[in-house]
Amino acid sequence: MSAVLMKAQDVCQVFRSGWPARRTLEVLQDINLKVRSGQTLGIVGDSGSGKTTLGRILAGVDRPTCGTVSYKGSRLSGLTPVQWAAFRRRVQMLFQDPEGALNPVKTIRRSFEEVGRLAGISKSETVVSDLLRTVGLSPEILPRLPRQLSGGQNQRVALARILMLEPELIVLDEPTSALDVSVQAQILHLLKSLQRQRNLAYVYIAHDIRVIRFMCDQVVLLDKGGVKFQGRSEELRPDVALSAGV
Amino acid sequence: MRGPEPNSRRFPKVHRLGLALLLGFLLIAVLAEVIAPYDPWQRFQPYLSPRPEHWLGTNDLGNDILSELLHGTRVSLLVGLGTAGIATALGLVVGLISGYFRGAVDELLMGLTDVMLMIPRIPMVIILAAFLKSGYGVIVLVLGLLWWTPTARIVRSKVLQVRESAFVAGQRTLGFGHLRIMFSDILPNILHVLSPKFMLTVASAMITEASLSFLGLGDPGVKSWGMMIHFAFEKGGFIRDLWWWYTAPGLAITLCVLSLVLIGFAAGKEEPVAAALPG
Amino acid sequence: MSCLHLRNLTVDFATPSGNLRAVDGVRLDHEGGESLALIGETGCGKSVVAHAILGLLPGNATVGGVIEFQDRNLLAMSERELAKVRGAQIGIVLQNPSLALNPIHNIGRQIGEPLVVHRGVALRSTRPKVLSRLRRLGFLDVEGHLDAFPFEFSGGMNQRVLIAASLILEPQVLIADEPTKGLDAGLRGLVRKEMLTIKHLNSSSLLLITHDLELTRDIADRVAVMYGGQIVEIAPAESFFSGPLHPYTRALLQSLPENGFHPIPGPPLSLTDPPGGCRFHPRCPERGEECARRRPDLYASGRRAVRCLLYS
Repeated sequence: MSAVLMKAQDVCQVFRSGWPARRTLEVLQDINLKVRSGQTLGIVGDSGSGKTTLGRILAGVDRPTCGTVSYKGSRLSGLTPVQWAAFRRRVQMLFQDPEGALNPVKTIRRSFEEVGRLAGISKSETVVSDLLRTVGLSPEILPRLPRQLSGGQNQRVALARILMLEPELIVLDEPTSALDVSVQAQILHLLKSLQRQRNLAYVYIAHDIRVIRFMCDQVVLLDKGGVKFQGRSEELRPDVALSAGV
Repeated sequence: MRGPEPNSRRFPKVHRLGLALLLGFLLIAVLAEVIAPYDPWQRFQPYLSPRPEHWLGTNDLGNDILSELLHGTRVSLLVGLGTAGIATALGLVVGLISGYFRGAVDELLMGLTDVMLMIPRIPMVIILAAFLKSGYGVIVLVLGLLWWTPTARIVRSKVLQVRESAFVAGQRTLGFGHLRIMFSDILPNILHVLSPKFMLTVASAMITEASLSFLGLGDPGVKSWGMMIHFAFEKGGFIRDLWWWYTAPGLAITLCVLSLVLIGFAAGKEEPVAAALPG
Repeated sequence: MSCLHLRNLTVDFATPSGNLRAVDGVRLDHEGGESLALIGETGCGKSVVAHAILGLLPGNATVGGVIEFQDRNLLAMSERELAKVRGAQIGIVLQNPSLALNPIHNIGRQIGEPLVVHRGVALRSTRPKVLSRLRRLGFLDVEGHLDAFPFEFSGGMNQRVLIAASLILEPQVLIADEPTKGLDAGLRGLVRKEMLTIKHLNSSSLLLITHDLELTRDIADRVAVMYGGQIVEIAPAESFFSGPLHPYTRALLQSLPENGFHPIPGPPLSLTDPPGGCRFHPRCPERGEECARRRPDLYASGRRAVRCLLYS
């Protein structure tokens, strides 16, 4: 059993609107899960199940209303700025929309350079070219703008930028739903090989149960914010999945 | 070719005309000393009608009107650009902070903006100018401090929109700080709304300066188009039918404002942000 | 019966980085009454074909070839004549239905509007037809819906409203451009049901432009596959899925989730710099020596056609 990287305990998320709070929306209730290094935890559910919200909480983008998220034993809410910076590097998130993944006014090269500078990594051309090749792209796209690339290519660039920081865990929010099914197959294989090469942990969010079965060891099935099933993906029965809308 | 017309990448003709005009005015402002036939304070025989030695005649003090006009370009443009510069910079910062951080900061800043918007600007400027009585520097400062509000609102709504793009969330998770994201990521994607507003603010500032000067609140020690019209009316130009005295600066103001408006409205740039979907 | 014939259709786009041939010599026959699916990856040119049929391409596009519809060449028509064809004879449902509806007019008006524009009747008289359309598309409280506005409806309902508006003139051909793109599983199922309804209850022929192979399987009578601006295979639906001929088609079907997510090898095709010979050869597991040099034609045999040297 590999080490537990991330743990969520009794996490819930409630959105309040109106001031003073008039309407509340319970998006997540009683979430408990563990992510182990080198493994993939799948979060599957219908739209409205809260899966994206959960992903954002695990990635540290949003704060949960209740409960705690810990990374390597330390609670996220109690991290010092130095610890937070370290967390921010090790835990990354890849978003769903390839069109909006990169700043449209920056060339691909510039998008890489700024990450390199941020992380204090050498931004030599060879480092970037190697990274591009790792994700299946050619260095000739460097001078281009995002709108000149396809959705699949943009998604790969976003992934390469993340890899530049050498993360340990990546939260992937439906990274292939906006892509063609043939491109999806390529990206899924790429993710798997990267996981093997770099011992990455993934939290993979999706609504397609077949993708989840293909990618994930462990699965959390969400239905309207609550956990309907949690365990190994082989143990998820089709009728249970269907009743949750996937 | 049938079908809908694509966004023209090249600047449309109207834009080019405006640009040419403005460049002309800028050149005049810079080279005024060289181009003008005389020093604008040099006195000749007053109230002369247009003639070969004085193409636009002379004013009540005997200054050559053409030379006044050419030198006045500098002042008018400086006031316009100065005011717009301050107003746009302020509006940009307020709108950026408001739209990016939202929440309490946004409420506070927008509340302030609403209060500022309620102040009637021209009357306020008139009062302040009357009390402060000093030169154009003060006018530029005052106008700039009063005029940032529309820009702030426009910037804020654009920032709110851009902020929802996935790439902004992505920059946060990569570890970029707020300041960096605001200026390096969001700002370039909102510039296209800023430049038209800037141009229009310059135009408004120029007209306001002219109006203030016309009302006698300007600085008589400086040659500006507004002051020229002021003296033309005050010192008997109107009564004596010396129409070239006030028409020339009036025309200059009109043309300059027109050039700015043409550039501002006809900006043919496409919007860079392609999608704005939540992550 | 309607027939749409595309003969040697080419579409070129003038871009800053040079000329881009998005559609390269497409020859396709769409028979009256049939549901033809035109499938392919993003960028293969299928949407461009749909837009070319109705003259909806942007100004920097140059179109060549012939599009024959009811003994007339659509490409040779003026904009005015084409406007009469659009909607009345060839309908199109574009992507993103909610954005296509006007938020300030109610549903009843928007569905009835095509009748007003094309047949010159009063809006009031369109009421019975509009109601009937809504019922046929599965709506229940049809009387109440007439006064509703798009914002009151969900995305899926608006999709159906748009289809109702496209069908109300009973066009001979309905083109559906990627009706399930970007939709989640629930909405996709709804669209699938609508398309089936259209197929069975209408006399319109359907040209389905999509990359959604599940939808294709349920709806299409015939399937045409595009790659790099060319048609690479045409087949009746069952033989298409049970026995694809072209290596690209085979690889495409293998990449489906139900077949194991096997990726098609190699980088995607560059339309500004396409490879010589067969367009697919750099990624083809069955490529031969000739494939880099010879451009295969579309070889037809019976109801099937393949563009591959393996079958010449």
